[in-house]
Amino acid sequence: MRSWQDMPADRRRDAVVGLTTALIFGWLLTYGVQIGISYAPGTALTAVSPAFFPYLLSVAGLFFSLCVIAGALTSSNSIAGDHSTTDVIPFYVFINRTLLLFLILFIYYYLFRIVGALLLSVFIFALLLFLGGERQPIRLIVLSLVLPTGVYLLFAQLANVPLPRGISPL
Amino acid sequence: MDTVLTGLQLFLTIENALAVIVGMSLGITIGAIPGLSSTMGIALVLPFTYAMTPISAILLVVGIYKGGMFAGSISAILVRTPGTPGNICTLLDGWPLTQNGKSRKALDISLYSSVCADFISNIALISFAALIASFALRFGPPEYFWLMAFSLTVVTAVSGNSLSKGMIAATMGLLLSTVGLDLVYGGSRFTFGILELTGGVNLVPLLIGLFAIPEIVNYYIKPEKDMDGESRAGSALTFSEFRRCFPTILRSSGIGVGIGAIPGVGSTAAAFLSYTVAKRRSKTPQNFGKGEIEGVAAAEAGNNSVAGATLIPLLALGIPGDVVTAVMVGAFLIHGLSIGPALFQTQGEIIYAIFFGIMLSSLAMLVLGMLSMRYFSRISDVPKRILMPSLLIFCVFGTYAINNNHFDLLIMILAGVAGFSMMRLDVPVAPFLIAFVLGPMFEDNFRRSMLLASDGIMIFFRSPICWVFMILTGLLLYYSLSGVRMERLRVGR
Repeated sequence: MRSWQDMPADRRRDAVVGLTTALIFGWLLTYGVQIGISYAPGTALTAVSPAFFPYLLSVAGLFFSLCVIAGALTSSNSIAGDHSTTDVIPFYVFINRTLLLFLILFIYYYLFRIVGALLLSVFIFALLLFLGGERQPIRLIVLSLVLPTGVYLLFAQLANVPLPRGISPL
Repeated sequence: MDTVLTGLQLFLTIENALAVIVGMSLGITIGAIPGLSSTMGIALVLPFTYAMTPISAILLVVGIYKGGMFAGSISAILVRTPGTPGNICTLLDGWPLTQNGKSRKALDISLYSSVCADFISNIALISFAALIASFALRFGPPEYFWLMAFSLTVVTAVSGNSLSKGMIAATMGLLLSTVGLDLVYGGSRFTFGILELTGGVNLVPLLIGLFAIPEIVNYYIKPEKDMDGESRAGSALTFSEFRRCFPTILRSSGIGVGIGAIPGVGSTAAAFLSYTVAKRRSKTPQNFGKGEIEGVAAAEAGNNSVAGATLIPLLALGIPGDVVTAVMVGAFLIHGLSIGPALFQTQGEIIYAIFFGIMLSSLAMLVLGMLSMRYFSRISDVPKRILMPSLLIFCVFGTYAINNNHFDLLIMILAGVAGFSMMRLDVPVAPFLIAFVLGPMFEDNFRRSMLLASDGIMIFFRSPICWVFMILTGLLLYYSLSGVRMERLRVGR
């Protein structure tokens, strides 16, 4: 068993994964299933009970989580991960950009019916194009108008999907 | 013989040939767009089939079904967004091939393996429909339970570096599949008063969120420089590469036909079983998941061979094998064809005419696929700063289009957060999704078996089919665990 500082980064990551999932499965086992599923008292562990399968899975998940923690703490060799972007960009930049992207996605969701699918998509497209590095104003405007409108027409006109119009006249 | 010849005569019209070609073109176009599915395509064209002859109508629908099934691989390979759940396995090697500038090869092998598998599946449909259907009828809840257990065990094959992390992902997928109404008692589980969750978590928003959204977010975290003017599609597939994959295609097609003939199992299980078997039999299993064309061939052959085979229980027994074939029942009913065993006796010539059309559909898939592939492969040349926002809009509109439900967008984004976290933490996504797809069938058959059982758990050992799948599950687990141990020893050394 090694100290936290001596562990390779990927093993530390595994330990965090194991700990987080162990907490989730532990919570399900103690409270989550009881809160989320209604069943007759004393029947939770009968095989046909609606709570039986979730309980069984929570126990299995807890076991696998503990296996991951044990593996991270005892294994001597390092495993290479697929995504190492955080290694080349500072951590705070990584966090800021991730939060910004998910904030944009949540705004897209929230305003989708209010502003309308087409109008909002034009703005989101322009913003993402700008974030992706497009700096030429004409190309930015033309692409932001043409591509979302094309996709909108494909869904709304050809596939007859009633996309929300919101405040947009179209 | 007379019935066959009459069937051929009925089939040989321009209208029928056009129906196959138009259906296949529509299927390929719809399938290649993330979020649009063959089910939606068939539902949309059904009203247009009223004016057509029964044979043309059925062939149009079959064309959309098969085209959509194949084309789901295009978006899986090019933009990491599987068109159907059956294409999840395709992206395991298809997407790495695109990242390595070999998207053309990936698309080519996907097309050729799909066509071969489709052809084999059609032959099986025509030759053994009645035989296979009668075997499939022997499956009761305990047999389905073991088949599901066996299919879930293939999770171990796509668990990446860590078997335990793969198992955690699978357990979470199974737990997520329990959300919604309980199938036995009708009570709600994990809905927490949210009405939209009563029907469970919708698969398509989950699929798009887990695969496409993380890729989009990842791009903006560190935008790559686009290589203007330089093609990233790479060279086409060579004949020697196809020949190398051919045994895998044949084997995977056999697996797909077997799985497809059993109603309700579907293409996801077939694709993953084929992939697992291909990986185990390969001389270079370490290349699987990193851009191995044999992996794409196995997944696509397994997936597409289900298409013809699913029609076996549909035509022979009147049992739809999946959602798309359930929608196809509508097309038969519209034209007064009551499917089931009697259909072969009362309207055998129509069935044979449909069989001839289905054979033509394999050829149409090859020709249309070859024509369209060179253009589809160019998608990987589109600068990512344009491709990524376009993909996001396709994802959002496609997700909304499933049920015209705003809540599905929230599911997609939350699945995106989960998928991105899994990507960063190196937790494999594929086991999560396989478990989510197979989970309801697994639990349902377990509980139905227990309700049927008079002698407790002994019902799970009642037939030779149970024993076969139980032994196969045990063997697969044993080999997976010993494989992981060997890999650890190798890395340790």
